[in-house]
Amino acid sequence: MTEAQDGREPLDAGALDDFAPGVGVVREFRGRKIIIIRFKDELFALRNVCPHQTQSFEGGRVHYEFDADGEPGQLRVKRDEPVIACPWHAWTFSLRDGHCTVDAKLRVKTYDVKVVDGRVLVDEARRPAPAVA
Amino acid sequence: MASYDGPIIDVDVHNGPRSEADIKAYLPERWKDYLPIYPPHTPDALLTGSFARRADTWGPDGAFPGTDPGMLKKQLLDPFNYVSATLTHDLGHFPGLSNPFYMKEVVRASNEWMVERWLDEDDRLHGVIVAPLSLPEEAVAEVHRYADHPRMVGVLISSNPLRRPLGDALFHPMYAAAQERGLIISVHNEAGGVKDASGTKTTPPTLDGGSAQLGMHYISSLIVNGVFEKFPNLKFVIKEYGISWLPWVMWRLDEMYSRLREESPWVKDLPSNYIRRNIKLSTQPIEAGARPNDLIDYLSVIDGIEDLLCYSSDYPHGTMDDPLYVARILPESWRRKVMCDNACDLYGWDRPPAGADATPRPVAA
Amino acid sequence: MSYGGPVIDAGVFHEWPDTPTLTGYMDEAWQELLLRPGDRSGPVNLRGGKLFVDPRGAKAVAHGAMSSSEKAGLPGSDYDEMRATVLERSGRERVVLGYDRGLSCTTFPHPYVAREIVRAANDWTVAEWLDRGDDVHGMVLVSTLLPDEAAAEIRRVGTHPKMVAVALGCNALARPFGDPVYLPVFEAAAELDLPLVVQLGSDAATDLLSNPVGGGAPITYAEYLALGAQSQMAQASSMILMGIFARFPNLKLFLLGGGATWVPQWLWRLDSGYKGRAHMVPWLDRPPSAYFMDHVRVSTLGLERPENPALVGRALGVIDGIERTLVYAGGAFSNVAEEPGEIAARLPEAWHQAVFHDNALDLFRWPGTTDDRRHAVPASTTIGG
Repeated sequence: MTEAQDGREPLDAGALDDFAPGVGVVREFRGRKIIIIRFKDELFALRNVCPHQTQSFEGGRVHYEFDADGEPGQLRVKRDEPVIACPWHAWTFSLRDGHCTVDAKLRVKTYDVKVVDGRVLVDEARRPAPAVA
Repeated sequence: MASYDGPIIDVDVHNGPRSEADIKAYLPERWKDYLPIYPPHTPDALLTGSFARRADTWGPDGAFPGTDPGMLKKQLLDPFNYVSATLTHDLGHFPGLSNPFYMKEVVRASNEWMVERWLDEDDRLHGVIVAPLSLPEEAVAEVHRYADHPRMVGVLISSNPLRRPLGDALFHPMYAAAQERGLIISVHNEAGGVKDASGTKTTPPTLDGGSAQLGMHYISSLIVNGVFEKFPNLKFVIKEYGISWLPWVMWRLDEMYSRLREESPWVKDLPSNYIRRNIKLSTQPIEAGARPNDLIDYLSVIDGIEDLLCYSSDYPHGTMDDPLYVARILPESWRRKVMCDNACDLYGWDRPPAGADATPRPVAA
Repeated sequence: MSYGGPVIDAGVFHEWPDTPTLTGYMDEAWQELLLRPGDRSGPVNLRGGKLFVDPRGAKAVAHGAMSSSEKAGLPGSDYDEMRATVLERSGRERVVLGYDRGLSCTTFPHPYVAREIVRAANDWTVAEWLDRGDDVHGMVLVSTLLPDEAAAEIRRVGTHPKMVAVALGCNALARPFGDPVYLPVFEAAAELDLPLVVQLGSDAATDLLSNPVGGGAPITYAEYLALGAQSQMAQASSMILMGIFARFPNLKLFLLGGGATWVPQWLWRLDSGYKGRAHMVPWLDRPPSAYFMDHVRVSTLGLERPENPALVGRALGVIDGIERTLVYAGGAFSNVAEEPGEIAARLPEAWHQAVFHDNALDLFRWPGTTDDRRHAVPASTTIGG
């Protein structure tokens, strides 16, 4: 976990309008590929490496996480929990904290994203990552 | 650990036409406007997005994944040290067309198309012959028709309109032709209309884990029907069923050896010996256990199982296995065999000389 | 390697010797129909048709029309013989009786006849087996052709303290057992805290639309024996994925007769299929393999026999904790029976007590078991990839 006090600049990833909802955009941040995703009113950024076969998430569909609390036969979604499905094997990762919703051992690094004066800025995550399940 | 940089032979890459017209161009006039050659889409039972293809394999001009040789080179042949890729159609289900008069023309057109629109594009591309399986005599003729092409390596069985397990006598004339012409048989999931036991064709929840059952039964069927006694030089590669089931099948069939001998006059050797001599499996979709070594530990109960595995990607499908990923999870001593040499043995090619550098292409036997 | 500890045998196969034995438990009208006194064809064969006949040995004769003259010598039909050979000589602590060649009675094409057959089989089992020995237990046999009737039968007979499980019989509807059409059956079983049993052969009766093996019926009995566990893989997959265990957390499934060494590769592929398709089965809150560890048990009956017996434990051991899922079933009176010593030689010694005794203790609803059994099963973590 790093703080921004290291003095390094956040990444200016582009204008907000450059980010169509649900379409991941790949940028480089401090030598690493990241993918930035706009979902409803929020923006998220993840390290752009799927832990399965180290492929890019670009092109992966973003959707609501499905709710396991429903009865079999019921389909419910968690409208505040977006996930991205890797375009290869469709394993799904939370945009909020990068945890893999189908394999508790896996997590992708996430970054802080905010919009300032219409610009999308990416920085190292300020808050500690939740403990791995 | 250094990434594998040796030569790669990929035995399962899926190629298709930009549009039906590309294949129909090779049909006789009277069939050109009859029916689609690809059957109407069946329900997307697995609710897969992106047509079940990797989202990044669409061509720059909107070409559907697997339809542009340029994309194939750019994404697979060139960035990895590819010596050969076997093209197996996407998925080559033409033999399943219900009108046999039409079907056999479409099959032939698909073979013409493969030769002219793909095999001529790059020396690293090899192909398989589609055969009109429901017409055994025509199937023999079709095999002979394309067997001379230097880069046709085998005969494809990816749909199985006869719904018979593959050892059935109906297939034997075609097997004879393939053996005679030095071709292998390329069996691709799901070579049968009936998936696994219990009637689960109608139930999506097997989630693909069940279809390997077909592969297992095809192996027992080939052995029990004496295919490897009648055609000892004929090799089969069984594709896209994964590999972790192979030890169980070898154990089970050997366990039943004395019973098999009583039930069939053709089972003269241990089933596992037939498998070792005549069968390879492609690796995709390669399995994984909880710990990095679990898959290899499980496979290794069979001595020398690494000789039976051939790397496959399944490009451009989303379920594909990246070649360096597969190489990475294999033991060092298995890598060169699985990524290259076993396929050479399968196709009857010389193995490229040892060494990390890109090597000349294998010499066709 | 031998085993000298206590043994619970979760699979001894008992058989009714002839039709009159069962029709004796039916009312007059069914007796009239099924016994057909004075008819040349004799009584109706209640056993249904098995798809495969073992070409070896006397088992082959137990197929086709049955008559009372068959009573003498039908393996598994004599209580005293069972007591002497299984319980006394072999020193089993207790046994659970199931059906081998009788299993296909559940597919009798007339669904109401099937219902009567299983009802009579259950009454006969209680009267002539379970009530005769404290250490003898049984499974409620049901025909899934009529799920509501099956549920009623579970509730009718399943309260008998010596009934410890429900045998689902054959897949007569050709819908795999996870299908929602069977929910009434599982509701009843869960209510009575009875585990379900799916046996080798459940997809191998005549006239079924399902298949005993992927790709259609194999042409030899040997292949059926070799690969028949495929139907167990398919049935267990279906039940896990369709959320039967999510819905009924106290339910368990016992796979009887198909061996066990296929489990690791099946779990791995089940999990990887799930990982890419979790949207199909959103009611699962963990991977299928975790449900397997908590809810599914696998018999040693049919345990694989490689040349090097030590490799069985090695192959199984790639799944952490698999030893708690294995349950000894001797299979007496079937053609694949094995004594504990033969099984012990193929499993690590550290597993023996669990396999031959403790896991069975945990699986079945034994007499005197309290309501504490009916607790939510603790969740396992992922085991596969």
